[in-house]
Amino acid sequence: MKQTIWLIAVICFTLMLLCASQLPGNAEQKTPMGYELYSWQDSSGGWSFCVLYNTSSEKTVREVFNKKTELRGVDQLKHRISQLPTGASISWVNRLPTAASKPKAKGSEGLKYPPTEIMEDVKRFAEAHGVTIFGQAPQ
Amino acid sequence: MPNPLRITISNTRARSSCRILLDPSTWGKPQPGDAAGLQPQNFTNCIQIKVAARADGLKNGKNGECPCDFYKVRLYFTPNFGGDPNNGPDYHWYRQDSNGGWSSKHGWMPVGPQLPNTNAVDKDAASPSSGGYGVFCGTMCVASH
Repeated sequence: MKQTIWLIAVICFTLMLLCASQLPGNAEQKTPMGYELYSWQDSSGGWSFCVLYNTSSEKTVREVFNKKTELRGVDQLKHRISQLPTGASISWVNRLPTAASKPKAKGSEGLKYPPTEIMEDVKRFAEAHGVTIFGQAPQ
Repeated sequence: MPNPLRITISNTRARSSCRILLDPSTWGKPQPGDAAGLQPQNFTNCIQIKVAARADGLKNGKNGECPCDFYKVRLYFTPNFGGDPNNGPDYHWYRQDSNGGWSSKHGWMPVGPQLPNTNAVDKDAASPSSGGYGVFCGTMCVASH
């Protein structure tokens, strides 16, 4: 009888440890979980994207349109999303500064949302990877 | 409390507050100085942020304390978000709740777990998962009403 109780206790403890290790946002989390997604259309009509960390500060035009971080096309965007940690959230942004009450920053006029079908496709992909996309802001 | 989106400074001269934006209709990132009508700026140090926040009606804390009818906020700064030299500077606020604990929020993420004291806040702010805000700029005071 004592052995059975002891065995059950060990199993429960092991399960608890296992569950705790699966929780997003546990003590081992090393990466920020908030991101911002910017989108714009290039001269050929293709869509480009940029995924940056979420910050309190507004991003600059230089940060958003940085060739080093530019993602060309939906496939590259999806690949980037698949690299984000499970439980991450993304805010899809269509202007700089983000508040609609302020005038757009010079050089950011091209920022806009892609058509709904593209947005929904990306959102579904993200959800399947445990990433939530928030949007869209008032146009 | 409704699900807040972002702790930020947003107030009027007559009524200052460290506001938690409440829903997506308030989409955007209100910045220190907005309420006072200051020109948008890229904050590169603590002093710039505090000057803008004071323009919005916040006060500097004295020895980390605030007058009655004010609540405390703690301001943190990093010259490179996440400690990555490719990232720009950023700041982050923590607000003292009515029960004495501290809370903050990163963008559209849920409000983080409440922190019990300022030591825990310092540690949380500097952690890589928060963005590595290693510079404590100071305590500021926000009018409660």
